Amino acid sequence: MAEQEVLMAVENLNKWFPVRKMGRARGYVKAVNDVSLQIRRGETLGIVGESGCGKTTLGRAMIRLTDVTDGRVIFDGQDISRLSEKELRPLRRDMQIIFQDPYSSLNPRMTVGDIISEPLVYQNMYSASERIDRVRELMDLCGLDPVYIRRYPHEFSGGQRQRIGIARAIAVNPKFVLCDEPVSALDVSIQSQVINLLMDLQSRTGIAYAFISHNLNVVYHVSRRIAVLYLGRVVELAERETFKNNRAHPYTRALFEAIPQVGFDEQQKKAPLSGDLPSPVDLPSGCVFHTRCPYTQPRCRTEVPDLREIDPGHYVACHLV
Amino acid sequence: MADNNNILVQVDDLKVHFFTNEGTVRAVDGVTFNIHSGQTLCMVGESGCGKSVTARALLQIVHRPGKIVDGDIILHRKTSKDQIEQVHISDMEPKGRAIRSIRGKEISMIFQEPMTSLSPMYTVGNQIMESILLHSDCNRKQAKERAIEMLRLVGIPLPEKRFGEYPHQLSGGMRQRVMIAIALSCNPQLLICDEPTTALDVTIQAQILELINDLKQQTGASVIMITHDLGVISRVADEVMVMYAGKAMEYGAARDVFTQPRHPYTAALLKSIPNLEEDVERLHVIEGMVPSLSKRPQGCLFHPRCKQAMTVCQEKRPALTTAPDGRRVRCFLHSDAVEKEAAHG
Repeated sequence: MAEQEVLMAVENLNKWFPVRKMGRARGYVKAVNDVSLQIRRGETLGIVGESGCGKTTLGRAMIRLTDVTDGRVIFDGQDISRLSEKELRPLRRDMQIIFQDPYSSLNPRMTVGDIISEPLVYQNMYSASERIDRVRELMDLCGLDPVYIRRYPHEFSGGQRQRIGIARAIAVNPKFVLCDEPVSALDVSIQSQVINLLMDLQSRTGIAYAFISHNLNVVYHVSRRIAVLYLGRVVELAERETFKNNRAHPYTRALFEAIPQVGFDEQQKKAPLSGDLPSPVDLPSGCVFHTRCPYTQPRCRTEVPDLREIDPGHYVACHLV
Repeated sequence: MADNNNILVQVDDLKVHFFTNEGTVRAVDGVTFNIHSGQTLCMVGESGCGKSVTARALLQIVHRPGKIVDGDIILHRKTSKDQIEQVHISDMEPKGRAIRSIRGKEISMIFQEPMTSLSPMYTVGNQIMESILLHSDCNRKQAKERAIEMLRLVGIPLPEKRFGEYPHQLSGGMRQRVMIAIALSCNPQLLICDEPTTALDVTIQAQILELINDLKQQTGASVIMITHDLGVISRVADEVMVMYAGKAMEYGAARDVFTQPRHPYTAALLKSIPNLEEDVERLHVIEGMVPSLSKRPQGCLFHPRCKQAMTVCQEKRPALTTAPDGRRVRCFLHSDAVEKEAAHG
């Protein structure tokens, strides 16, 4: 991959949260473990996994909404993993976030115009009068009628609120937007409207997305490449087409087979995975997936598998592949 | 569709309205369906279409200010010697003795949120025993044995140990299994599942759906499954009812409805979800929003968002009509029948 193509590079990233009892750290929730991945300019990287697998923590560490325990985050050629809030401030113009819940992520006491122009004020962009024009332009771009500029969030439906959140995120012309489950709170018919909007904006402005979701159908639709996370580790990373026919890791296969697809052509499959996700405080030894894997070998219990490239651009962490 | 002898619950023209300060909200507005023994009926629709309220009406647990204003809910109860007694649930007092003897015994329900529907103050064993002790005449020792047996049946490892644990000690999937154990502890004839897997991950969802299917086979119970996930339906449903703004839009055998949808709403809904099997550049979009239930459009409720809307759709409200093959569709593209609307509230 050419250096200048890479926008965001995560190298051996760890994020651990201390579990405190009586004021002292008695252990760590190992939310993200030794994750390395890259996002190119203008592409969408999908991040999937079950709840508690560290998708959101990884995303937040990427844009430094949380501190990094260990490892590096390189954004646009600059290591941002150790920067202070003040040093990060100018960089925030290039990295934004769209949140999951369109109800709690908008301040109910601000008008839509104030919400969308807030990042512009914070970054000191445009003069006051130009800002209003910019807000109207953004509302129009995101499918909101600019006459609603003085309305409050409660006057909008869930889908429209998510459009407000999107307009706010792209207001400062970012290079990278983290989409953290942007459609999972929306109804099916509204979901498709918001997904189409995000994809249109990307083709128009060339934003790169990290698209976090537990909905594999949605991630598959929007992404160019997909990373599958399990207990804070990347178990498989490849181009989206690979996941259609060429899934290599046993967890990825189980995950994709578990999605109920619309259609009656195939035989109803048995639930492919038994058991629950182990606790991220006491991670299993060796391969983190060995407790639920149907093909476990003795070495899976002791040796941690590396993320290896088995085909060009197709990375898998499994001893058996 | 199965013959009429097999009907377990019959719902006729059910209307549940909510009387709010802003006016009457017609959450369920004339829904008719039958549940046959051993069958799974799926109700699907977007939020606010009335699917949960319909299910709650079957147990008379509609929240205030909601009320069943019209229609019949009839439970066909088998008595000895193949006699069938018709029990009118819709006429019962919501807090009365009659309905309380049905709840949890003949009809039971699993809710969406396994955390909030279990009591945090009692052990899971205690909560399973509660309904067994209430509905059968066994003593505490027998009830405990039965509860442990139920925990084993729903696939909980070490049931004797789990019996004494509290809900917070269990994972989401395990809690939902406990809910299922409670719901099935008195061998109900009808199990209502209100979005049982929405709060769960896909791998756990697959386990729970398989469990519900297996238990249905074993006990011969009927299931009403409420969901907005069309994929879940294709895995479990025999029949499906597509709801929109408080009315059934299409109703028929699940396979037929999904492979050959007749109502434009069903077709659009099926096209708007991304699918791993087919690659599309852009997703199909249903323009506009679900109408507010207190300000409903004139004519067909779906016409403002329908690509095939005609002039007649703006003026008259189509009726749900039955095609020769048994499929019911509410659309002027398939029948000219107009709905007769009685004045209410």
